[in-house]
Amino acid sequence: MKLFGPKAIKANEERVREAHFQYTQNRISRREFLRFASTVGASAMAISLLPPRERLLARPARLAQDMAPVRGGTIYNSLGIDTRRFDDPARLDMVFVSNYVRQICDYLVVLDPDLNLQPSLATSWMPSEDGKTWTVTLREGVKFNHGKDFNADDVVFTFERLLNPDNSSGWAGAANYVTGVEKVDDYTVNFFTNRVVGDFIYTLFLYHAAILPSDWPGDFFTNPWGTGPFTIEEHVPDEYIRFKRREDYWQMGADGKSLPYLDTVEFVSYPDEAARFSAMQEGSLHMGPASITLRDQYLTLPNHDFQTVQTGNLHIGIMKFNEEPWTNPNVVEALKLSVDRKAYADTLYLGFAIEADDHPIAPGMYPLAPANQTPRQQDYEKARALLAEAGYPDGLDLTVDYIDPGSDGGFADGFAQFLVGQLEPAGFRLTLAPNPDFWTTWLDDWGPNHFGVSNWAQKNTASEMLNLAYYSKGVWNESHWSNPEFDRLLEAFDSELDQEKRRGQLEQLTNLISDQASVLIPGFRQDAAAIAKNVHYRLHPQAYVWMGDTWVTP
Amino acid sequence: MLRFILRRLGTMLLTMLVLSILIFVISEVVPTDPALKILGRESTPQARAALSEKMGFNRPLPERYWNWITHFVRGDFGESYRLGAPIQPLVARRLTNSLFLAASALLIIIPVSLLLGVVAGLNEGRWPDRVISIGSLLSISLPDFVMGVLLITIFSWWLKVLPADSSLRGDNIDLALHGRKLILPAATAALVLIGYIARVTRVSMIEVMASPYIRTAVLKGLPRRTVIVRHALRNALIAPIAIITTQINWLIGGLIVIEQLFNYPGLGSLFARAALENDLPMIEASAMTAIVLIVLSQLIADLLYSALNPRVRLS
Repeated sequence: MKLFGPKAIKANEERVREAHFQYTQNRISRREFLRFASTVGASAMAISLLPPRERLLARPARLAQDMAPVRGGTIYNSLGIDTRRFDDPARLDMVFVSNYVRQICDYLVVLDPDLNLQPSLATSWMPSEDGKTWTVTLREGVKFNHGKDFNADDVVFTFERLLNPDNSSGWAGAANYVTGVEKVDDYTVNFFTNRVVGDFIYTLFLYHAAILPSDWPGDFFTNPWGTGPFTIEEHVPDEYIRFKRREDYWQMGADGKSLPYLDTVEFVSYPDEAARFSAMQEGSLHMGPASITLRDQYLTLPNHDFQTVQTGNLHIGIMKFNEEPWTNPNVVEALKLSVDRKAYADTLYLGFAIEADDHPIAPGMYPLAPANQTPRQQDYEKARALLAEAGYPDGLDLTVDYIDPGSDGGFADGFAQFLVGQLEPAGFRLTLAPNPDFWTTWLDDWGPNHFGVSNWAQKNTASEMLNLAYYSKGVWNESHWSNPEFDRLLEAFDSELDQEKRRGQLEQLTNLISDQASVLIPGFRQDAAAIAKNVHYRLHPQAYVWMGDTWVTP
Repeated sequence: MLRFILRRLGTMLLTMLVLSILIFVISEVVPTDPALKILGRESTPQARAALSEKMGFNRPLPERYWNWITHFVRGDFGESYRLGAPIQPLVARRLTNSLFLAASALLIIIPVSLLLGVVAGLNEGRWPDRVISIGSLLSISLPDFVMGVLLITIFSWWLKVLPADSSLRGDNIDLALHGRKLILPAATAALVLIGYIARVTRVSMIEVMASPYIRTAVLKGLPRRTVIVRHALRNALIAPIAIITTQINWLIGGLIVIEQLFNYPGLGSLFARAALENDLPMIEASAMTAIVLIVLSQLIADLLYSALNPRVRLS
């Protein structure tokens, strides 16, 4: 296999020039132009096309550049999840747990807190002329923490494990178009896809895809081998994990020496928020997640800041598409019309949320996401009329299926409680049915009335979100919504490389969901954390925690 | 005596056997897919089926029970679904922590509640009795989380003399390192019980002081001090000691709210989470541990009781 044929390079340059033209015509923003260029591995070329003043702005903003970072120290961080064990990063199913892996292993690429794609173990990447082969160049001179040199064998090993059905990795489902991976030379690999996917490179940052060495024998907590900034010093399940800095990490800090700045990081379990708060109050906990509704209390902490970040995380009301009463679109619309989106943002998040119009693509949180449209206005009269028209003049009794508050800290429960009051005046009488075995029944069984609520974290790309949960064959299509027009459009969106066309397609896709899908999405919330004032850390919108460039002033 | 203890332990083993069967049967009724819990939500149905086959989750109930019980008696409690870690070392660690916490609480409870009860009983109707009675009423009526927050507010936030964060760093609990961290959780548990035990002691003391043999001792001309210490106390303490021993079990395995509030890694919170998340192997381990604790604390109660009251023969 030849590396980059001159034709492939030319095709790629054409794509970037076309995107640049669209940028000069104000059809896409500078950020979108740069994001696109980075997905096809042409950031350097893209920056060179910008006028000199804008080149400066295009450099990734790093907090650490504002002040000289200090080395040393220990940080106690609570992740809002108990410190548990797992055998295999390939089988992770929760972003919170993946945050342990992130300290020990690297990914090929990373999304920074501004959601820009940055090189990590991969230094550059480029699609072939036909767009179905991606050639990824790897970083040289990187060592694993058990002494092995990093090279293409490790990447092939990692992704072959992810693709192997025996390992049951969620990665294979999310990147179901990837057919294989092949070593070209020691520092080059090819990924093959069965169709053109413009966003392919983002899938290398899905949390399962932590790079493991080719001699990894399995059992991650016994053999925590990776190229990342820390190693595990001690782990007590349900209490804490202590990480120690590595001396020979490849990434350099602002002072020109190896990261990380910290000597030790300890992730401590604090399942109870009151306990977390009093630990912060007395200074034994530097940082941890905070409920936005308790903001006033957190503001009284003398040594902590209350930091928030907008996310694309959402609550969703699920009406199972192919079941009564949701087969009638009027009933679906009536339910959507009964919810006041501003009340959602205000009651559940003190206004720290943006209103949504029943589709999952949060503005600003995904490349090319449509700007926030005016969402549906609450209209009880119309909702009641639609219900009557559908044959329910006396309203409807609905059982709400959702995960019990003990298992998710009451997250789904809060939303379900909110819906009770919102839906009642329209004639929907809700009975709450918290379900401890939600995750066993979730995809198919939504209780006697086929209605429930669940909770989604933001994904890396719009395509990932839409393919998982809205595509008729999506592996996590919980509402079972199926729309042939949507499916066709989504396939076209995935294989299109022209940014202007993709923007139009994404807007059509979100409009279809908003108008027709049997889901209720009232808003996108912000995440919050209390972080000690002397800790230099920025929250990531996707709840990723990486302590590699965090530092603490004594 | 030995026969008594052996008989008690025999009952314990029998109870454990019956309960372990019960839990296994209940686990049949609650629909939980262990393969899903182990492999995660993103796993394919094929992979789950393969794991169920390998681990024997879909074998008949008696076979699974036999498999589990034979491992259990050898000290292999299995792996927690929730934490993905072996249960036995976790329970051992938490049990040690809980024993330290329970012992600290008892160190406060026993002297304070008995002293208060005796003082109140001896001063029936006078101001010390009134003050102590109102205090005990307060202590009984305040739930543990309110008591805990109250103590945290006073001692950690205002006076800043005691830590409110009792999470342990480093190996098992080490008194030199962690001693201060035990004080507030132990005091909270103690305050919840002190009122109740003091009231029982008070009534018991009043009854004993009104009994004929005490009147005889007084009329015999013995000094009041001797009457109380040598004759009254021993009988008056029988009831409160019996009650304290019934609470040992709660102090070791049931301080769920207190452990959560102070983030103290004890048994109660470990088992509570297991119940909430259907972590079956951990629920089984917790039930077995609970029985051992109950039987042992009852055994201690009986031994103490017979020591205080020679009329009770253990054989």
